[in-house]
Amino acid sequence: MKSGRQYSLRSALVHGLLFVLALYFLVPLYVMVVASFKSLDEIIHSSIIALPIVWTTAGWEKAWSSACTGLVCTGIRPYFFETMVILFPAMSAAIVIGALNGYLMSFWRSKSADILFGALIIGSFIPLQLFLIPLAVTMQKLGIFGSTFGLILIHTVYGVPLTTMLYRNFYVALPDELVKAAIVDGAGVFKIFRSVIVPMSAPITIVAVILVFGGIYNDYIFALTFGETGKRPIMAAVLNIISTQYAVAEHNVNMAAVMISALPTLLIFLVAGKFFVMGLAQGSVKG
Amino acid sequence: MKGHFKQKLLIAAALTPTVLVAVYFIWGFGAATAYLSFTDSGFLPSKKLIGLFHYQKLFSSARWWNTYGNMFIYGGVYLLGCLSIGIVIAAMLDRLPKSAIIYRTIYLYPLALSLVITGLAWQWVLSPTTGLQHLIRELGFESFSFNILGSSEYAIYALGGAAIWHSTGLVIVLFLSGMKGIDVDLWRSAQIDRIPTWRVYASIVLPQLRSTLMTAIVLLAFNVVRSFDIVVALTKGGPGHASELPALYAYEFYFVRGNIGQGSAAAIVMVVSIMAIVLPYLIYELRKRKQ
Amino acid sequence: MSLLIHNLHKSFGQTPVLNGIEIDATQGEFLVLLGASGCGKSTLLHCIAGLEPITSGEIFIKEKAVQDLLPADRNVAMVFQNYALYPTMTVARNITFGLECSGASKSEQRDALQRISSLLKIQDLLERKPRQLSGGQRQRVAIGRSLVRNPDLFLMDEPMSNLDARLRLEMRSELRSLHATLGATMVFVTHDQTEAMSLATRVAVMDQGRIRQIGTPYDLYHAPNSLFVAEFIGTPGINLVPGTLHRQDDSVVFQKNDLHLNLESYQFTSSPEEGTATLLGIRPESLVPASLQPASNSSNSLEMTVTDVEMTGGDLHVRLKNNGIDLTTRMASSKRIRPGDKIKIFINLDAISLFDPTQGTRL
Repeated sequence: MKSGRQYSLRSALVHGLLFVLALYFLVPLYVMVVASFKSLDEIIHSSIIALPIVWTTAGWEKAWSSACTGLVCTGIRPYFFETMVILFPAMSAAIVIGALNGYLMSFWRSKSADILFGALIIGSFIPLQLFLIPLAVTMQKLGIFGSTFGLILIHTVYGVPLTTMLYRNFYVALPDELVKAAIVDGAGVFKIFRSVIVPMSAPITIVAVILVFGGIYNDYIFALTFGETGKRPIMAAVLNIISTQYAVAEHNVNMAAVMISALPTLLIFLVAGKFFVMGLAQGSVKG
Repeated sequence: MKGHFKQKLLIAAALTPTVLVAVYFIWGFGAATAYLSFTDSGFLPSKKLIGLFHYQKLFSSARWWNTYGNMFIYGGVYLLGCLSIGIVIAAMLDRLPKSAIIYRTIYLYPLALSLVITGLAWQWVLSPTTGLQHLIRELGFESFSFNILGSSEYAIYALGGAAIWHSTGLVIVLFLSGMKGIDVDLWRSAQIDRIPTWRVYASIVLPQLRSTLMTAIVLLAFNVVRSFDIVVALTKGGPGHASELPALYAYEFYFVRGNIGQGSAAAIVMVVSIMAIVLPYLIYELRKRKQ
Repeated sequence: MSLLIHNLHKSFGQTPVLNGIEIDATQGEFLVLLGASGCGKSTLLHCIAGLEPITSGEIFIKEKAVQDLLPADRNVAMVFQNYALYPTMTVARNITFGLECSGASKSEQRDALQRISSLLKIQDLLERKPRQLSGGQRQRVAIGRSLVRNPDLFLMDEPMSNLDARLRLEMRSELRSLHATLGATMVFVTHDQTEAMSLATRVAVMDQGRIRQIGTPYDLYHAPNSLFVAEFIGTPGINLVPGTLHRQDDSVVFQKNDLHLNLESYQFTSSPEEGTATLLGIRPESLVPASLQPASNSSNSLEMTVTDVEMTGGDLHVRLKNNGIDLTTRMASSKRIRPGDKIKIFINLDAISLFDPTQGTRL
């Protein structure tokens, strides 16, 4: 067997490598957090990796309520709430529809069902650039271009393939006998869904919430294309705030704005990391 | 039998709205965009067909060739980086169950962030006034210069580096869970045969993870095609158009230049190119699995 | 007529799975569908329940044609292999769920629950969740769930296969007494022939989507209509000796090497020709050592050498050999037998079966 010295040398190498890589991953975050808590003065005069001499939340306050995008100086707050107004209805709708779809599809095991499912999955991977113009035209015709409802609608539509896939894979893995027993007991298709299936759906619903939340919250292209000035969803808004030029760039405010935008998904990740990981593994098992 | 048929009908009917919506919004729109690429659509879509005009224009544009080529450079760097770093980290974490949680959190958190945030964070770090160059100069090396974002040649690699930062976690998750599925007995017999650990990974474990590799490659490839947010946030395609990617090109022609036909052509070429690589690979791998 | 199945066919796409099934079961019967994996027994049960549509044929439950009805309308109950208890519901709700679905009032549900839980002695378990129950308890709850709706037919799909041997014997006797108390008609699927024999009033042996033979356990054991059935039933398996039939004067004689048997008392389906190849089937306990069979016709005996002795607690399984003939017999384990011993064996001619070696049919 290996000598004690060889063993610890190897493990030291491994840990060393892991540590160096960890730096690569941590530095951007560290640098942003640190900058967001410094005063503008300190940023200009100190090194980016130095901790703040004086910790201040001035940057955060300004970013939240008074930073400017173009001519409007309301901070990121209204955009944050607008994003939530779009996100919760769209997420709920996509999940409910996806769960129902997934449940119904789990009844139907055949080659044609697999093809439909495969098409749905492929559809969810296609870059959205391919849909922008037809989408714009459709929304214009329906009179919802640039409206909150329009954004809710398209986020729902493009979220359903993902949720359907998640729920269908989950339900297919449940024991057949459960549904059969309920059928013999006399339960109809929707009663079975309500009384038997939904109570069992907690794990996958958490995963679905995480993935759909991330998908909608982190979206930029729909926000940019279909958002209304003054009510843009957050990723487009934060980019605008950063791009708004001042004589002297207010880095602390910018970094605080970025941090505020990053917080929701980051917090979800830290709290529900296990489900996050599960969601990745699930989301990547295609058909 | 009649009762069963009725039930099947009910299920099919309940699924129909989703099918219709999917067909319309996904396949229908994709086909519409393809159609538009053959029309003279300018600022507004038009139905008049003009053949391959836009494609000819596209492929005679130096800017497009640069952009198109960028997609492959960026894609190559991205895939290679994510896979090599990710697999190595996964292998190392596989051996360390306890400290793994902390490391995993560190390597994975960027995935939770949007690509806009990723781009902004790295812009901060790479910018000469606020980032690395500034830091090193402050430390006394007055003449140190590091302005990758201003370099026409290397800006695209900065994009790749930031994207790798974002997505390596995905590869780590996929491969870690794949590695957990490896039979423990395999490890024991390798130990008895005194095979060094790295060798076990290289020659025994990795070959078994072909399907994991396939999943990872497909997912990463599609991320490449979708890369729009990160370009806007990090380089805006600059300097000039040096680090532009097709997604950005298409967007500009759609909404800034008012040339929907050209933008559609770019979008189609972008998607078809990636499909042309991924689909044969998928078919090859799936066929191999059936053996 | 509790259950009548007429000419039932079922195919999955192009693949036929059930071929021409005919069953008639009277009220109170315990019918067992017995067969190896893939023979179609579970599929048949699913068709009876209505979980699978049939391709053609008729199913009648209590004189009512049900083949077009969904399970909910057939008034049947089913117990599944893994019990399929609803994991997020309490035992109480699991049992009353069927009543809930048919719109019974809360008080009706409560009464039924009271009745069933005291019958099955599970009153203490009512507030628990299925994951907190043992295997045997789960089965009782599953049975309770099926009892509560007073169905016309009870269907059971290998419900004992997940229990350990001792628990299985316990549940078997409980099931037997339950059946006696209720007088209900039960259709039970299993691959375990001992289980089938111990529970059934009649057994239907299935193979490749067909019923090979339906009969009482006694009939199946002593008068199997085919090689398949003969080999399927009985442990240790039936002895099979290949040989030829010869006509000698008016009677037929079985001959193999040194073994000559006069088959006067055997009921042939049709008179065999001279020289017909045949397989002689005889159960181990129908081979009797000479010491226990004093004054017998020595023409149906054979001198044999012991090759192997297997002790199984109460019995000895003794393997015997004589010049190309191999037989297994059963003896009390108190007997002292060793390989190499010579024994004279008598063959009980009332307990033999003859089969055609290629067709497998009974001669």
